Amino acid sequence: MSALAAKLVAMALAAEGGTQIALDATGSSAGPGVGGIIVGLELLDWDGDPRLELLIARELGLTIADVRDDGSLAVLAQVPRATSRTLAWCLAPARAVNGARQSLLTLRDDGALQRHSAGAEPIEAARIAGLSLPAGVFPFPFARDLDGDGDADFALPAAGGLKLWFVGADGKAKQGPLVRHRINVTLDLPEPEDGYPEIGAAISIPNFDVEDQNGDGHPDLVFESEEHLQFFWTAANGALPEAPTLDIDLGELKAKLAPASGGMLDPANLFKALAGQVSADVRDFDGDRHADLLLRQGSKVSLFPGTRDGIDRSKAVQVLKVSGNLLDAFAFDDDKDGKQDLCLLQVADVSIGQVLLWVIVGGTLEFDLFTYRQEATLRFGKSPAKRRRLQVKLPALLGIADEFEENQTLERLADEFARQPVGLDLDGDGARGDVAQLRPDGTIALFRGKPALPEAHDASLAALRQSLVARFDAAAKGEDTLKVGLLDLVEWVPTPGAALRTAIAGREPAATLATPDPSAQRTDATSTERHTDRLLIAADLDGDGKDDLLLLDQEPLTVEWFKGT
Amino acid sequence: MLLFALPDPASTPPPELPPFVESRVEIGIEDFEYQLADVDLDSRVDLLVTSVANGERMLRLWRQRADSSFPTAADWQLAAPPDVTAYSLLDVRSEPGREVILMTRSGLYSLTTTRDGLQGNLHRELTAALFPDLPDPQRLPCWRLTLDVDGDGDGIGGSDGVGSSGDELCVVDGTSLSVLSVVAAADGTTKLVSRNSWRCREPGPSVGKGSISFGGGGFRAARFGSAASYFAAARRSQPQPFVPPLLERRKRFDLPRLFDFCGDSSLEIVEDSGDGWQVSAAAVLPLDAVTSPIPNPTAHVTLPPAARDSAASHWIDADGDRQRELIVFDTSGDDKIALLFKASPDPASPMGALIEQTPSARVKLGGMSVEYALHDIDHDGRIDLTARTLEVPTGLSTLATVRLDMAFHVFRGQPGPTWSKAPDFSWERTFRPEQLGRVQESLLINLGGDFDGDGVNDLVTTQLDGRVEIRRVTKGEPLELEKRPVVSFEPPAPVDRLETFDLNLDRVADLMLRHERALTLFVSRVGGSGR
Repeated sequence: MSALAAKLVAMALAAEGGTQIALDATGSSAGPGVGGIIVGLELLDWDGDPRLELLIARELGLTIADVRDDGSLAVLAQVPRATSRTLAWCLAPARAVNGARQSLLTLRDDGALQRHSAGAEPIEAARIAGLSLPAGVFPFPFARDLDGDGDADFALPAAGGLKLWFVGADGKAKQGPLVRHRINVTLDLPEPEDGYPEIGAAISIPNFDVEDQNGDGHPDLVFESEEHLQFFWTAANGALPEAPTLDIDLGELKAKLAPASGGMLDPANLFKALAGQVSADVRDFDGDRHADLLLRQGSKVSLFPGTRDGIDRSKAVQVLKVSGNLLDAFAFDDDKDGKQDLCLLQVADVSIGQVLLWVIVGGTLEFDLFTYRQEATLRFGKSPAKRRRLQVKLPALLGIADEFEENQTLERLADEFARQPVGLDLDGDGARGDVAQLRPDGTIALFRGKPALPEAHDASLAALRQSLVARFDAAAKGEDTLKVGLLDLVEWVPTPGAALRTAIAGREPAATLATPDPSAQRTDATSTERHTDRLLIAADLDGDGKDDLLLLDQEPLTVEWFKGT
Repeated sequence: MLLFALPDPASTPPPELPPFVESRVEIGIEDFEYQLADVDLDSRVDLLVTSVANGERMLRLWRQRADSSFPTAADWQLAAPPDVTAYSLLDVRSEPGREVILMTRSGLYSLTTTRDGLQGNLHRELTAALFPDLPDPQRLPCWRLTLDVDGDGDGIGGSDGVGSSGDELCVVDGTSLSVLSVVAAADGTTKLVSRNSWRCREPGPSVGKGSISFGGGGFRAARFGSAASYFAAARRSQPQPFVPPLLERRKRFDLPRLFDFCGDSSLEIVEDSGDGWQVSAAAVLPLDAVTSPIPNPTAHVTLPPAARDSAASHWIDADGDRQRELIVFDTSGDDKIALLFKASPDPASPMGALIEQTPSARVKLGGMSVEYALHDIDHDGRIDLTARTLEVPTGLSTLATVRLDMAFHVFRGQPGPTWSKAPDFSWERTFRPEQLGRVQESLLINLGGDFDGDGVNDLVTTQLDGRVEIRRVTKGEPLELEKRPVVSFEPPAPVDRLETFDLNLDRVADLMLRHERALTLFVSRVGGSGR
């Protein structure tokens, strides 16, 4: 399709408007499927045909419905909540079925874990004792292939951590180890004296990784929380061990480091408190496909080599001690020789007096990044091969709130972060070369393009460090010292969607879809509030190979479907 | 236990202080919470402490002895079952004293502290779908919403702590705030009965409402259970967290504001309206009543414009005439202001009030930080205003000269009502940077208690070297702060928090020091010499 033809198609889309999907958002009538107010939506492939189906989560249960071309819904399956306080749901590949077909897994507060598949009665995959989940109907992605057999296994909260369940060939789940994973619950209880009494409960369970860490081709399990790291590496036969292969209790290490300060600050150097910090990075640093351990304990950095069977923490292959305030230690191929180098980030001493001066007149905060080259396998130079010095100019802290409030860059970045562009394939050629951008007024700007655009944003800490070093080098132009204002530093942080934004920068949209969001037009709203709350979703809903756009409006809840034709 | 007569370094002997009994309660770990309540109803306030040890959430009780001491070891303790979300206190059973109430997602249980353990002790008092519905494995909080809703007892937050006699226990049942009363049954036993309930407001599903602003931009924190529930796995315009958690979910309710607005001991429901408050009676319904909505407003109270956006409002009798006045603090701008507005009964509405539009008193202070508070320092029924200010003087912009100034000012409550134009007295300190190693400790200050029983509260402070000092405030026009401390002592450990209570109800203030892993209590000895 030529660019002109594509533009005409998009214009035609705009003229026609979207198709309203027939959701009973209020829950006031029975509507299709189970009743109640809608509390969640998801797309899935329920029956294996090219079309996607819509999962509608309501207070009274779950409905899976086919979305017809006119936006009406045909109910395919229902899972009532019944008397359960909790109905958590999760999508997983259907067992023993090739392709993208998915099953719906549900978890209730009585511990019943059920698998619902198209054309089959629900089966109870497991019954979990002592399950502690909040009330409500909500998505909870607890199913994942933990052992590489193609079946979705389960990781579920239990007293003391996460209990792993492995699904066997018979479809039944068998108990695996209990991982000491942090489960954070925050309760905000009302007090009689509160002017505005509130009550709140929040649960947060950190995620975990499934990746091959010991180079045997089998997935290993990586659980990292603030205080504890646990790694389960598969044996030669691919079986996961009951006990962690590597267990690093950062809290315990930290307690051993705790300075005998009696809670007192050092007025001459507030960063002395960093001497009590502990962190660990477990990755392959020497290219032998076995993860190694980089352990920071205060001002000491130790390296432990990994083998196929684990990491021996009794003997470090190298130990470095720094005299300054060590803020971070990480591995990164700084000299681009294909080998990871060791980078140590330090911050200069700051006295209480300096902080008081920052309050009234501002000042400078100085960081040094030292690179130690990997000279032999997991052997780093004894002295740094490179030093970068970043001097951050701080404005007077007394007025910093105003500076933040008035900073245009911050406003732009926050805006970009809130509404990220979405890559599309509108012509069905298999390449996502088109871009849809939700505007502050709630309309969609559509940009056409041919070659596929990069979409993935690496949000890892390693990528962030790498990006910051690159920004330093670009700005410093070969110098080893760079001065930069605090607010200018904000620009250094990579934001998701940056590649797509670059692709459409300065271009006029080929078409504009949807009507403006009235809630973003309010004259009494602050500038922050004059931004739409709409959500833009890209998916090939009708299975014609061309991406469609769904525009979700939350008040009242409506979904408008713009078909890619 | 140590009988501790507080030393007096002053050369001129001031009036004698009563002897105090020092008790030290070792908790053993840093993270702990405490409550003070008269558990066994002997007019001596006891100490309840919750903490986590070896994965177990412990609730421990130290009973105050007749000699004003606390024992070294806890008198009673309980490892809370994993499904307990919070604990409270209420006299709900025939056993002596108040019972510990254990709250779970499925109901309430009582437990007497006159017996150990759960076996044969735990009684189910209520079956209901309570919120919060999740326990915090790292914390056992106290549920303090015990209020005298119907005004038949000794009022909100009675002097003997949480769960005072006459209080109702308010719990969130489903999505309603339910008022539970202890009712005697025909067979002589007691039971908890729901007397009324009001629906709680749930923040709307929009990510826009209640959003936080990041600079002037459009970043909005999505509420969990709203936007995060929509197409979470799809390609979408809304950002995902950098590392999406396995599970993240938050639920929150705004509760009806129950408050003794009319000063008649029973509570009213006070709701915000556009320009003021809607006030309606929080009537406790007959026992057979069912869930009802918030009653129709019966009075509208118009707030002065200057009070409408205030972060802190106090509806309080400021001059002892049994009429409430409005006091508001606005400390968000460059000038930190306290305003006092007179009010009078509304002839058109007995539940309402007419608040004057211009303040009868206004205090404005500059500074990096100003914290206002209200006390009746000289016990004359008129509310005094205190202000703690922190400032870094802007003219001193070198390391050699920079300093942190702290001041504590007392503005006396006067007829009008108004406050004295200038502080009756001020307590000022200047810190050089090298003196700020114990900065947090050095800024502790408390004027909440009368230690010598002369009818005027005394000032407790900590010094740079960690010493705790008490200075007398003497009555007169104006109030005066004595220059020399009447008491100066080195606490057994650095002090994190400094509080005053009347722990044995003898009208003499007692002192509690919170340390990193312990508490030290100084309780006046009832009937001791020196009074």
